[in-house]
Amino acid sequence: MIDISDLYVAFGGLTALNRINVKLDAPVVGVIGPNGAGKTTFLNSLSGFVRPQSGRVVAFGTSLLDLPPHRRARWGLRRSFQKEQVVDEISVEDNIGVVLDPLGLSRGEREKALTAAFEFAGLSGLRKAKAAELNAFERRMTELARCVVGAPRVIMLDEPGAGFSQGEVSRLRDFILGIAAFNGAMTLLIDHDVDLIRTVCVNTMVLDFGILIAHDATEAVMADARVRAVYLGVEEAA
Amino acid sequence: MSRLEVKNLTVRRGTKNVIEDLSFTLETGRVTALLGPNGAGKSSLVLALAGALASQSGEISLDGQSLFGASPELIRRAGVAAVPEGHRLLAGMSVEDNLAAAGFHLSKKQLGAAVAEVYEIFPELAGRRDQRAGSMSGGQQQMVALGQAVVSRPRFILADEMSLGLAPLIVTRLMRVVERLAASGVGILLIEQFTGVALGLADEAFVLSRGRFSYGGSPRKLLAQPELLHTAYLGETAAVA
Repeated sequence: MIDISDLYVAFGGLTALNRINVKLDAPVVGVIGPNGAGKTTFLNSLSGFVRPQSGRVVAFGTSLLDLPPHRRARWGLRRSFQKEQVVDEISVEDNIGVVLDPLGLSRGEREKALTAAFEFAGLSGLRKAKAAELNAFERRMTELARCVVGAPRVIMLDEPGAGFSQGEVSRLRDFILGIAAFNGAMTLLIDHDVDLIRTVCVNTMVLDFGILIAHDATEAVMADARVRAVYLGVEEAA
Repeated sequence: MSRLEVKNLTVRRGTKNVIEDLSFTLETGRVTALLGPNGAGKSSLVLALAGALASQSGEISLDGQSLFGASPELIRRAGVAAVPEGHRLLAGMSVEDNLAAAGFHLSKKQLGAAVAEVYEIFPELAGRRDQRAGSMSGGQQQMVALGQAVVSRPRFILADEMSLGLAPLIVTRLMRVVERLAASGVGILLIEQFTGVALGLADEAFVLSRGRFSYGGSPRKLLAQPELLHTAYLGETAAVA
């Protein structure tokens, strides 16, 4: 479980996250809201790119905000980015293996972790390929394989489905649904593909102007009048 | 009416032809949906039409005037505005300066009216006109990128992943904007991950697969027959009208 209390982030005069209190305890939790609502800032606060002015984040008993970002990564926090961060000049294997480097695994353990991640992500045939040769979806899957390899505890995905066709999103859906069984990690998912959120997220939290306006079972959240008005754009019949 | 004609266009990246012998025509006032799996060549096509990627052979012309090999600036001046995938804004500059930069060829009065129109389409940006573009959220930056295309008063907009990173509410609003732009005489090439949305709006649809069209024709037919779309995505020629 991730227990978040009083999380507050402001950039100058702009309040990006306004005293968020929430307990996240589903295998996959959706994070949705209008553009600029604070979704990415929320992930950035957890990962360490943004230092909140106040608040506590206790993930599976560890107080994350007390750790520097690299220690959070070593603890088992992983993330992907809106614009995928794959390094063109090195192989797919090196792109993925880089997160294992600080963990001090034996050669055998490392090999086992990599093989499993490649298989899970459907990238086995591309292991030695140079990342520059990959298409957009393979690049996205490379980044996601980097998120799941080894023994992560919390995986945060920032719009992994953006820009992909329905067939590709459906592969992504199977991948995300499989994470909990693959390595036991909890996933936080930001995406604007409502169908993807509905089908993979057990629970969903909704941000609007930095305020948590809903957190509940995904279906209940999608039926919430306020969420429909500010996010889905469905007007209630008068 | 203006026509942007593409004839036998081939675009090579590295050693591979990413667009191969492609021919089609865009007309002002019409929405053309371009679908296809990743790696099919959609983004390369937009970049080639915008002059940002060199084409190997073929012809690109606007009302008979050749744009083949023309600079991106000349193409934009001629009235073809591309919105490449992934927002590439001037991150250190304000929202308003980003919009003004896209209207470099307009008079001060025209620019004022064009920027005001963008704020009408995206009221979210009006309150942030002085904000540094790079400090905004991904979705807000996409709004600015689209705003840049609108500001340049184009005859054609080539939008690569128009709804990328935008909330459903904004996507719905944006599609009404696309309809409005088309009704006002702008020709639109729409690349869109939400195929249902794109097909519901388009006058014509193409499916690109491995650099060639595997479907060209009625968008309604693709909507009604999802298996046709599926086949076309796999690169098998479904029906080329």
